[in-house]
Amino acid sequence: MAGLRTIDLGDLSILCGTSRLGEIRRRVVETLKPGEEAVVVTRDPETWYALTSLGDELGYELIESSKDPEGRYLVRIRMKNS
Amino acid sequence: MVVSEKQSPVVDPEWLEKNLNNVKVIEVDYDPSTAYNIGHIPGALLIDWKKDLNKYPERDIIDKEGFEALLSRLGISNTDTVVLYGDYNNWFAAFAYWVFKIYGHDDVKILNGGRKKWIELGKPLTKEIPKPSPTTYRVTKVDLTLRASFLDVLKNLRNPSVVLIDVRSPAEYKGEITAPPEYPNEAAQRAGHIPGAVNIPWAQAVREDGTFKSVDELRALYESRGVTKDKEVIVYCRIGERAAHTFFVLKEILGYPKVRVYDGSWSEWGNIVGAPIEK
Repeated sequence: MAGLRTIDLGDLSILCGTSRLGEIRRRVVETLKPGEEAVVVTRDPETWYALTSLGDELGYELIESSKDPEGRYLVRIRMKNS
Repeated sequence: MVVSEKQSPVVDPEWLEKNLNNVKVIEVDYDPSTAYNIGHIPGALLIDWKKDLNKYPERDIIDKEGFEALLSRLGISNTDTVVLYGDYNNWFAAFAYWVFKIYGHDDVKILNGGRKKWIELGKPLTKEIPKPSPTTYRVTKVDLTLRASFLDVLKNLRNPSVVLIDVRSPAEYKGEITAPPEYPNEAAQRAGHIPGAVNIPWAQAVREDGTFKSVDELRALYESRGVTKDKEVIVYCRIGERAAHTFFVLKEILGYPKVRVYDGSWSEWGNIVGAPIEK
């Protein structure tokens, strides 16, 4: 995934006040252009699961998902062309 | 540490996976759109914390009739073993546990590590929503000794046999912030903590994966801060959900006899004219 923009979401499991969906939309979806690819990083399993499940709702395609040796989930997405 | 037996208040994911047909599983979410709705433990029902456990228009937990209606709708009977789990570190599952205990449902447990651990372990998830047959759930006892009001806390401020635990972050406890910027609806007019409260953030009771620390570790954590079994304990946070998590640890895991949740918490105390504050 070298060369792609990386967006580190950190641990969203402590930010229940704004909702995970809102945070993913604000910090990932709204920062990417149509067709643009990025790797979203998180250590939180719930956020990882949400990222891999909400592509249709949030307008992106899931390209690849993996976990690195340090325990970080790496989710590669491509924004759909609107 | 967990004893994965029916008698324990905590169940492990492995035990639950083998016993899905023997218990009623309920997911308690703050945000079902990124939790229950996209995948939940097979057979699990949903309690939406905001809609189902809170009363409206006044700020309060649901009343007895509301609890009966909720559990009847979910198809829960008075004798069912209920296992609660949820999003956001099991905070809201713990809050639900506290409400279940107030309304006298004795056989209730929490899934160790909650939704987070279940997903991390790669356990099965489904989007299939069960359609239970309604029951006629009846509350036979109400235990308000588990709950503390503003006045309960105020009159016990200088009581040496009562210890207050503030489970919020150190920055909130010290009064550096009233609430993190992500919680615009929960900020109070004033920052600080209730006089005499000790700061033991809820997260010190769990490991990084969200599972509870061992009984010995938990005992050492709280006793080293003067929170001992002979004291009456009142826990608070901002709106009560993290306080409920610590309530569960103290009362159900460590067996402290007198533990209450002050669910008004800082969102109430920090807004009341004349309420004493320390920084």
